[in-house]
Amino acid sequence: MDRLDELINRYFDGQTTCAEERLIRQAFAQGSVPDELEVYRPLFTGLDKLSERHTHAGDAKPARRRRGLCSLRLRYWAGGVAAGLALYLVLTRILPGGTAESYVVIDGKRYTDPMLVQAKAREALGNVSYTDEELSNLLFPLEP
Amino acid sequence: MKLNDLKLIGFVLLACLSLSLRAQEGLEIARVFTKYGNAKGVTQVELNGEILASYRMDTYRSLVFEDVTPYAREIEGCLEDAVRSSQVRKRQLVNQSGILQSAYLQLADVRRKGRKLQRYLLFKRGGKKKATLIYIEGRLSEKELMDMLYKKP
Repeated sequence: MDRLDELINRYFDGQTTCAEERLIRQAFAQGSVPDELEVYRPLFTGLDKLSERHTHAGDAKPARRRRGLCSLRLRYWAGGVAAGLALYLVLTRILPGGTAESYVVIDGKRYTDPMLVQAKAREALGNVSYTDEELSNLLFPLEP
Repeated sequence: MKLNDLKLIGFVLLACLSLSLRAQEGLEIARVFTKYGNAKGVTQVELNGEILASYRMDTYRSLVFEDVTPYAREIEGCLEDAVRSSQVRKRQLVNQSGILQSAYLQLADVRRKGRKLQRYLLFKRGGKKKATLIYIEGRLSEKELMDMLYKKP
């Protein structure tokens, strides 16, 4: 008990280690202490409870925090995807004509000159056009 | 999970479904356009915006192959695939000595932005090894397209 008294004195002098402070708290938690030291009971049992609560809270917090972070990340992710899709839908389905410009790619090189683009489009359409003769051959194919 | 989260996830799923359906209405031949559009000896044209309005088209894409030989098998396979699919309403195929010379396919209508659009897929071999492949989507009727393609003597 003299030891406890000495530890408490050291505690108030700010000279105790963590292990010594734990010993003091254990002494108060476990049972009887001299009457003259009972006056310190609320202080050390209160600290003990506070320490326990802090330890449990410390264990639980990261998990809750992790869950919170995951949920937040998921929300940001889903929000990003939704925004991207919404933008895509607006650009391709709602805005008249979209935002894309006409172009021609010749041998892998892209050109956007309207005259060239139209000329190449007409040329392609000309390639698939048909004449009376072709129509006639189609209806009355020549014998090989 | 909160109601807002559920709403958000629901929206994302619906949007994904919409995109998936949009992709499914395409044909195998669409792959040819993206695959060979930048190849050497190939001229690709894509029209967008006001140019199309005068032709009553919404989409125009064409590929002109200077020498179609390396691509012919794949193109013919894709066209045959289109013909076999339920997406073709009318077809006009010309084969010569087992080689596809021309194909005029009218595909099933498609609805975009609340409008019903006609779709056409045209393929024709030209002189020597040249060939042209065109995909058209728009309000132009079959007659309008044929009039446009008719070459007066």
